[in-house]
Amino acid sequence: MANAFELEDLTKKFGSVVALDKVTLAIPERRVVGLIGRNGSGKTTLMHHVVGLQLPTHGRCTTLGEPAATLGSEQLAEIGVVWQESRFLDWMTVERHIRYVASFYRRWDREREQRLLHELELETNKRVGTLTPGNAQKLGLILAVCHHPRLLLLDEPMSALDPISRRQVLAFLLELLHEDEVTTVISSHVLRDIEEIVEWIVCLDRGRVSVDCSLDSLQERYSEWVVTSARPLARSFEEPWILEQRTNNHKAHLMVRDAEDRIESFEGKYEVQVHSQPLNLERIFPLLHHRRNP
Amino acid sequence: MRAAAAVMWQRSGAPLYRLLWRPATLAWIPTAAICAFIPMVFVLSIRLAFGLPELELSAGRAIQVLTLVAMMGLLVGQIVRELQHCPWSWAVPSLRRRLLPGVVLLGVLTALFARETWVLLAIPFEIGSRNAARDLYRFWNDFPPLSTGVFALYFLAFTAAVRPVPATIAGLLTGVFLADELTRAAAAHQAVAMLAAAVLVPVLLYHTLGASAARRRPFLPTRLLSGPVTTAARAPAPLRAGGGAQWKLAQLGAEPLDWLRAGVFENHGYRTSFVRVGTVAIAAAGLGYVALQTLLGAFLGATALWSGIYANAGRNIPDAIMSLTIVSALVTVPLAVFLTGFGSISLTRAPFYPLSRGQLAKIEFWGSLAEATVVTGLMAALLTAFWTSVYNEVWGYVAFGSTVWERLTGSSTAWVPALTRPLALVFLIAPIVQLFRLRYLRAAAPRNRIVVFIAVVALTAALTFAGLIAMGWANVLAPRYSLIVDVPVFAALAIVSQLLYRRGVERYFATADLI
Amino acid sequence: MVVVIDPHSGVPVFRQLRDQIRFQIVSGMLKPGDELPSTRALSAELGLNPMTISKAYSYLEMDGLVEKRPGLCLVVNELADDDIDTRRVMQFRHSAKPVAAIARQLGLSRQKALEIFAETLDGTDGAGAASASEEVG
Repeated sequence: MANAFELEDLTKKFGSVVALDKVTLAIPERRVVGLIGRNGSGKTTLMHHVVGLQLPTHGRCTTLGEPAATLGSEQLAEIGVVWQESRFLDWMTVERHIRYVASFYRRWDREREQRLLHELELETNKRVGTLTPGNAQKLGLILAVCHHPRLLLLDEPMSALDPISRRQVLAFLLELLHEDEVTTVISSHVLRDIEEIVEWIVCLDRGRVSVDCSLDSLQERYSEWVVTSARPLARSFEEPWILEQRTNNHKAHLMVRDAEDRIESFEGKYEVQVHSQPLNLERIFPLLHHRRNP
Repeated sequence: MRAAAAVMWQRSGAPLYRLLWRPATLAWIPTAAICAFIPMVFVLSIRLAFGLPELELSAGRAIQVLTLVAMMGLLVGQIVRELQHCPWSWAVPSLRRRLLPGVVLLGVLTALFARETWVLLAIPFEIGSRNAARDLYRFWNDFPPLSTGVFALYFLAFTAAVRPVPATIAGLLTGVFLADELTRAAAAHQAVAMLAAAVLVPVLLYHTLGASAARRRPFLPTRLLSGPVTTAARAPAPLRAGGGAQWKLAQLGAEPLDWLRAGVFENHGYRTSFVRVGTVAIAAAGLGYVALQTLLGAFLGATALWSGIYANAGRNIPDAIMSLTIVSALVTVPLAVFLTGFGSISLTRAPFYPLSRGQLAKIEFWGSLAEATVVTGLMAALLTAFWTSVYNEVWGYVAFGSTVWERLTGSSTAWVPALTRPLALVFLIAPIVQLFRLRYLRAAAPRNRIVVFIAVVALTAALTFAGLIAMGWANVLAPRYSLIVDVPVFAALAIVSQLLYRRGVERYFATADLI
Repeated sequence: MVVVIDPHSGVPVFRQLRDQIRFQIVSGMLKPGDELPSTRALSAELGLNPMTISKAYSYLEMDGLVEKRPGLCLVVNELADDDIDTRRVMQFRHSAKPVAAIARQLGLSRQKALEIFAETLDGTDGAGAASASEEVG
């Protein structure tokens, strides 16, 4: 399977600020990727590089087989983007803006457009400049998907949506996966939402890729141990695979990584009982930024 | 004592400081200053250079002083409005009350300054035999509080949220243009002038103190005025309902021409835009006129450089200067304003276009070429209109200018270069302005718009200035004017400038961040 | 087939799905010859990524519990009786582990623990709700 996009040793500096630091990433087609990271970790910058809107200081980016800097209009017509900061022509009405952007593309699915407008309850005769942030995001989504893109980049696409609209958008994205076999990259802070739909996680930490694996393997690697003992517990445990710990006299909560087969030896060593609990993405996220990570 | 000073600072000094320390001030203060100093600098510099005391310092200068007062009022009004609509201004306790002393202080200062300038410049001219108008005029001159009071009233009137602002400036600067003519007309038709004054005063009073005006002048305490006081509209609403034009093209291909239409649509798709662009063009023309007039007048007055060149002209030098400045200012400074602010037809790059960088470069280049051609054409039309319509009546300067050209070049078609050379200058300067715009106004991180804008206007004025001087010297060195020489020279320069521009645009799109 | 998935529990979704379907097959709720829903239908119903569903399905296939027919949905395999028994035992052993750990922690003797368990199985553990509320989980 070809790669939807690849980044090789990509570095981007804005003056003295390093936004991306030797990022190497390869995303095959039809994968659904959740791009997570703290604010300012470089997620938006990465997406800008994939579509060729920003050029790297060092390194390369190849999208849909072409170097991102020289992407032709055929490739660009197969990419759909939703930016975090909406960029529209404020004076147009929703309807007219859609018609205008629709004219850029050879195939524009009016049925899909109408269905989305109806489902998301977006009024077409409102001026774009007066839309609320939530409605602006809905418009951005419609503009990005109706031309059947092969690669879809969504930068915080649902941050301003109410829970009902979020459900609808998620359900629609799923449908999109079936129909178009599109490669999707979603960057979002609402980890609950992306947990449902993504299969692969890429985490950026201050411009570097700290995680590039499937969501399942991430969930299997990290877990929480609830340690109990009849006797008072040690102050702290020194094992290297313990990332965080919270101890009081009789109970400790440990966040561990790659420690599934160490339970018995741990129980034996400290004469405690360990109960292992899984962690969802929201709770794994802080552990990805732990000091002890390489 | 110190405590009282501290309290005074907190009550009025600090708000005054905040009043003026705004980005808007950067743009407005030079404008107001130019209006303030034009009469003095121009007149004094000419006097200094040529010692022509009989130069007519008519009451026209007085009208220019009035414009100053109005501009200051407008400036202050705009700044106060901006402050009122800052996101958290509602949290500042008694903002209105705090702003009032500063505004009053500025009004008084402006009125006093205007009064003194009037006295300095406005020599009362003879308006015929003794009559009511003359007496009134004398009384006005000899009784300072009256004139100061009128100036203050004028100032206050303009602090209202006058809309649209470009049109107002356009109107004021037209007053500057036609100041001399207006006073002559007033002298010639006194009854009409009196009637106009009689109508103007109540209107001013209404605008100053009427209830609806109060709504637009939120710094006045509500107790002073009757009627409900509501805050002025939050957002400017120049767009009417309807959302503007329809985009007619079903599908854009890769043809640059189609995308040029898209560019026009994006920038000017809503109906009011052409009105807006038109008023701004006029305002810019006026601004250019006053700015360049001052510049050139000061420069030439200080150096008397051209007295040698025009030695055989034997006529009033200032008039020759004026003709060139009028022509040049009318064409080049508006170009800068037009292209950087309001006359763009390039793609805004707000939506995500399926266009490669190379295609964007190509579209930008052809769009700019179209813009430059259109602007040059517009300016040609404007110039021709001025030339032909007001040639005989008012613009004796221009007529005189052509005489100067004739003398210099000994040719009867010498008026042609007076028209065509400035236009050629526009076309040659345009790519520089456009490149500036591309790199700094549309960049990934656009610098402060106001600063860039001022830089562009200054750059354009400087280039025009240099071009004028160059043309002057060219005439000295090669006095025999010949159209046959001008055309190939212009063509060569135009091609070179466009080629350089194209390279600049392509390099920009190949290497810059577009978002 | 009814499955309940919690994508936010931290347990990988494919594993939840796999375990639940396996339980249903082994316990007989899903009979041999029953068809599993298609990847697409199930993903739409549960609101989950179809890749996750196919991963679960492929694990089940590897396990030998379901069979893939070209162009059709997965179908539950006919399992040999002793195979079923083995699997049922394995399933129960897996569930019994935590209970045994609790018994150890509570310090119950082997005999006592077995006695309690026998009563629970028979449904004669008496004192119903009250004792249940006192249990430490």
